[in-house]
Amino acid sequence: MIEGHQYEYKPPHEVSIVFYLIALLALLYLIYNLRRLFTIQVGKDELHKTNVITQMYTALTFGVGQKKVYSKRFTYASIMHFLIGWGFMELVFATTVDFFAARKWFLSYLPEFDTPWFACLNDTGGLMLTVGLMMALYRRHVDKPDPLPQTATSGRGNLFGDSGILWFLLLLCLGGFLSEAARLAMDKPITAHFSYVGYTISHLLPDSIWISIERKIWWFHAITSLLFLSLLPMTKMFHIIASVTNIFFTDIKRRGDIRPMFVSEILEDPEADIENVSLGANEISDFSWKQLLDSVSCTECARCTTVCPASRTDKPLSPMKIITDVRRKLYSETLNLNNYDGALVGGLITETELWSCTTCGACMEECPVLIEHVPSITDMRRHLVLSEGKPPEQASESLEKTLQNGNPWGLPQHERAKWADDFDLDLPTLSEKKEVDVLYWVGCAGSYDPRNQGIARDLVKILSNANIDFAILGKEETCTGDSARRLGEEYLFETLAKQNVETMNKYKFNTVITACPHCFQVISKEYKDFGGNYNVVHHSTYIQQLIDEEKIKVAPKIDGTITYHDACYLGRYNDVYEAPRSIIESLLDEGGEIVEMKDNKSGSLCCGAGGGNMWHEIKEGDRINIKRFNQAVETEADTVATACSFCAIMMEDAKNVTGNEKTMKTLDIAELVADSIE
Amino acid sequence: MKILVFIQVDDNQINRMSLETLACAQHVSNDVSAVTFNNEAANELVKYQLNEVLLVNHEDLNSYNPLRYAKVLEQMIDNYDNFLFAHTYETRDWVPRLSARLDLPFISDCIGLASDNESILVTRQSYQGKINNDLKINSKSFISIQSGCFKSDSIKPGSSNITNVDVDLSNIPNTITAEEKFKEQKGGVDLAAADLIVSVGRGIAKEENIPMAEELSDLLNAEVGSSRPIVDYGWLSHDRQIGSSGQVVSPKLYFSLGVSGAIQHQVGMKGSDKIIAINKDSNAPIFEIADYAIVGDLLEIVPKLINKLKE
Amino acid sequence: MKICVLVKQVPDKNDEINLNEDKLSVNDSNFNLTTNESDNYAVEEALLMKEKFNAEVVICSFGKESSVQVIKDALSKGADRGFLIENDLDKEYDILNISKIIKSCLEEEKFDIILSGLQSDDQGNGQLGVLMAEHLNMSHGSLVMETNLDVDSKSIKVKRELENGWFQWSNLALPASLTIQSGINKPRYASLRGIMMMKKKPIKNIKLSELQSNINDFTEIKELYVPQKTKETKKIEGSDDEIANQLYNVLKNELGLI
Repeated sequence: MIEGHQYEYKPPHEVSIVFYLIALLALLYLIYNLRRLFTIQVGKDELHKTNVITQMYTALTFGVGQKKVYSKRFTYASIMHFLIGWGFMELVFATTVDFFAARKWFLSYLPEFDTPWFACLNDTGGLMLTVGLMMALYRRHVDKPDPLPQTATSGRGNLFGDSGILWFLLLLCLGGFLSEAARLAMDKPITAHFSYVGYTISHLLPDSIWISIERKIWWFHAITSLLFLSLLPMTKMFHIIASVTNIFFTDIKRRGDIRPMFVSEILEDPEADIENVSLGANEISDFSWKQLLDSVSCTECARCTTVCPASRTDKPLSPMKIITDVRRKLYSETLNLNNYDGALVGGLITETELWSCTTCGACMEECPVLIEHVPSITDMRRHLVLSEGKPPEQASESLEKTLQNGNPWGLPQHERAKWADDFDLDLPTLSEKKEVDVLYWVGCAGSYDPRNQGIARDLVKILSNANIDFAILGKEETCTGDSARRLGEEYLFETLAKQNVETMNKYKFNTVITACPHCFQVISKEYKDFGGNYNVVHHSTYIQQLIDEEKIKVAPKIDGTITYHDACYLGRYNDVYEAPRSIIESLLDEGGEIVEMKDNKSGSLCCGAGGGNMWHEIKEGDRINIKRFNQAVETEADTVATACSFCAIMMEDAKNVTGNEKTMKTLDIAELVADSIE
Repeated sequence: MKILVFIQVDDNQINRMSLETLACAQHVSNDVSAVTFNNEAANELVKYQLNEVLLVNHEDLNSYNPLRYAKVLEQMIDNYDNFLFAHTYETRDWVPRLSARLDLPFISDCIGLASDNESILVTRQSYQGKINNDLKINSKSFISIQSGCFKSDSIKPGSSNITNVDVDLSNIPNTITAEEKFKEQKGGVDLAAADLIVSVGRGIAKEENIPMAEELSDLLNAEVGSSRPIVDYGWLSHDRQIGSSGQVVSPKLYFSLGVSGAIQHQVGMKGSDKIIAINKDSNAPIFEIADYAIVGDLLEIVPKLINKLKE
Repeated sequence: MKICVLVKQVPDKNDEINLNEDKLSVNDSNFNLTTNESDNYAVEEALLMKEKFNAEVVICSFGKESSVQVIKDALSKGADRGFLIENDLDKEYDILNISKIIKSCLEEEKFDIILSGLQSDDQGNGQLGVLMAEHLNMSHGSLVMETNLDVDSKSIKVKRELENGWFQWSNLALPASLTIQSGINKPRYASLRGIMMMKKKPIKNIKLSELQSNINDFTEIKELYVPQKTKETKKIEGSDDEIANQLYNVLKNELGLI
């Protein structure tokens, strides 16, 4: 009741039993359609180590709150979705309250139709939804960004397609405002003007006409709303339910992690059904239920595809297509929907698409519904390699060489420390010292690639200068297996992991440092599954500490413009963005300036070497490293700084190929610092 | 020690390697004879210091057939102590049959030959040229000599006679029949005649780096050659292949990029006057025979050299 | 159709070769062992024939006990069974003797085709395939770059590589022994599934000490040694720019070529 107003509660007009019957049918059909969500049960078990509270919080912030829609990029699309999302939620809230109020349930606690703030809020919600929908339609029809599909492509099979559902919703908005206008015209509440949109519309026609068509409009709106609700899971709007569910079940801490297979357990299991045990993912039942839930939740916003470096260089890969293809296969197998009889891997998803991925994680960084693209792609690669024996042609040689010689180049194992010996660096090895403060993990590139050997020597110079008690493993070190794992060769990865963990566990050290983010990722996070728990620090973080603790003194020497290329495995995978930048800052001279490339920090564009792409060529499209390097050129920087073995090779390569070898420099952080040590 | 040297004839010409083998035999023994199936060849051989020149004239021997060739030598086994051959593909295809048939060893690809009056001593290499093996052979034997180990111009001249020999070639199973030989493409490059060669090996890493080598080659007025893997990948045509299964070259300069120099490649270019080699691996066998050795990344060095040449 | 592939376990091409004190043998204790390179191509060729003609592929190796690994690798790729002729006598044999040993084990199986790699990466004799052809009364083709099996006419056409870029097709009546040249095909990758299935495939072990074969000792090793380098090699060192400059000098001034 509103003070001072003689507002008399006017009951809503009689609602016939027919409505309730139809509503019941609609509800039943909705529940029936929710079977789509339950198809995920065919997937494997997935262990979860979190608790309900954490998950509810995640669901609220990322799901209901749509955090990632705004936080990653604040654009036209973000505004558009804000309006649609919140507008829709507001209307659902309003409808629910109205439903209760109309039946006089909890009347004392609930606002009524014409309570001013409520009336205003509801119209605002409706307006937001309407404006958002029109923005979306404009974007879809008039000014469509490329990766965004217009029609139902590759059998994604959404009822009404992508734009049809928008029109349908618009119809709901129209129906809603019209029936509100009609009601206002009929009931003429004192607070009518608070429903500002409906109020305006109600003045467009004479009252008599409104009164005569009011029932029809009401039924029209009721039927279309119920229709929308019951068909919801069959349309693109299913993501309302599916994505929040998916987010609820997402373990934020482990998101994007590659799950181990424990191949040796499969091998040693005498009961294993050798011919049929799943090695990698090809059948729908090979995926975990969470991975299948991912595929069901894809809203097809194409944000992942927009930032995918492979996609951006015209390779066949589209992360969105991979995820929706899994969904298509899922529905085809479980519901006989949109049938596809062929295989998922090699059929619906081609091998080239899978091999084009650099595992850079930009897709996962962007995805508003927290889908994990990379682990699914890796699982399908595992199928290709472990089950069918089909790694990409050139990469198969690198895999065999890694097994035989401990490095993908197939260079002699016994020459792994030659980069130091040749330069009389007198580096102690752990086999001599047994116990040391810092283990410097050199990695294959540092050991064998001339460019990276130079970086290794500079890092040693820095460590020696700071009087750090460190050693290397020398000949005992073998490849960490990063490329093998990303290529899907999990058996090789496990073999290498166990070998390296066994070697490292023989000795005592406090910290492992490495200049290679791929080694960093594997040793610090992925060796845990194999008994290796180490404190690992990337060389940029370590050097920053040395500078901060004044264990080395650096003179500002950079007087030109310098830009820093964030390595995927250092930035997105391990959240190290500031250390390299702060090191560069401390090296800047008077005229020196640090500039950022267009795509930087967590939005950085991959150099193209990850995911095993260092070891083979995708023939289609352009070179990713050249695209990235051109971003550096655009900043007009004269130096590109890197902090990764692969990035160093890729940037150097791009610099030469684009004809910039004389005008620009590509240098690792260690090289910049070593050059500036006083 | 009585030695019989088998003279291989290709397209009516004595194979140069057979002459090298002859020179080798003459160093080791005073009693060297030669056998050939070709009339013109026999006429040429009489100019050398040989005990006799055996000419086997039989129409079945006009084209190569391993079973027939083996049958001929089988019938000569009693008359000689050791039988020498050039280490050619042809030799490898038939002499082992003889070895198995007569239960006498065939020591192939030898780089050195000597005798201690009763036995023959050979030197051959193992582990891709890393180890030399000095062997003493305590029986009659078949020996093939590696290309380029002896100089054909060190043959001792003399005068000899042709002895016509009859052989029984009946009852040879007709299980191996060969067609005409052919080259893969017409108008290939004749690297054997090139003065300068820029050669690419696996170190070139990617097909898209080949134009860089071609550019260097153009600037030096050289021809482009390669080791086997590059041709296997399809990055260059077969006529560019240098090695035991490609062309044998002897240019003034052999500039190799990323070539490891495995033995089967080395035999194709050992005779080069000067060899420059760039390779990442300091242990690459090519450095054993290179005049100028650069341990480094050719993908970095060559573009810089190209720029320098363009200046 | 029964095919036998002869494979050998050899040290990795990168391995350092150290001699034993007696200078008559090589110290193999630190060897990084692997399948001989051209044998890989032979195995692949056999598997291609298996796929096309439903043949049985048997892998045979002569060597120390560790050689069973190369048999396992081939079985992991799809071969059916294998047998190891184990050299448990701690002696090295020349290729003629080895071929006789292998002959005594292969004869009874009556293979239609024997494939072997062109030559081994360690001894490099390049003879085994042709020796086996003679021992087992088979036709043969060496340096084979392509095969064309015709089961009906019991023959096989092979493209042989000749010197100087020449090639030749030969028609061979079965049974035939072929020595396979590297590059004939693309050896497949051994998948984990293949490795798992390999564990169920039979591998027979025949010990040399229990075999009768007439081994001779005609070939005697007098000495093994590292060859002396006679050529003087000039090293060009420095940064990439310095190297390029020095090369330019060599080409221009020392060699007079530009």
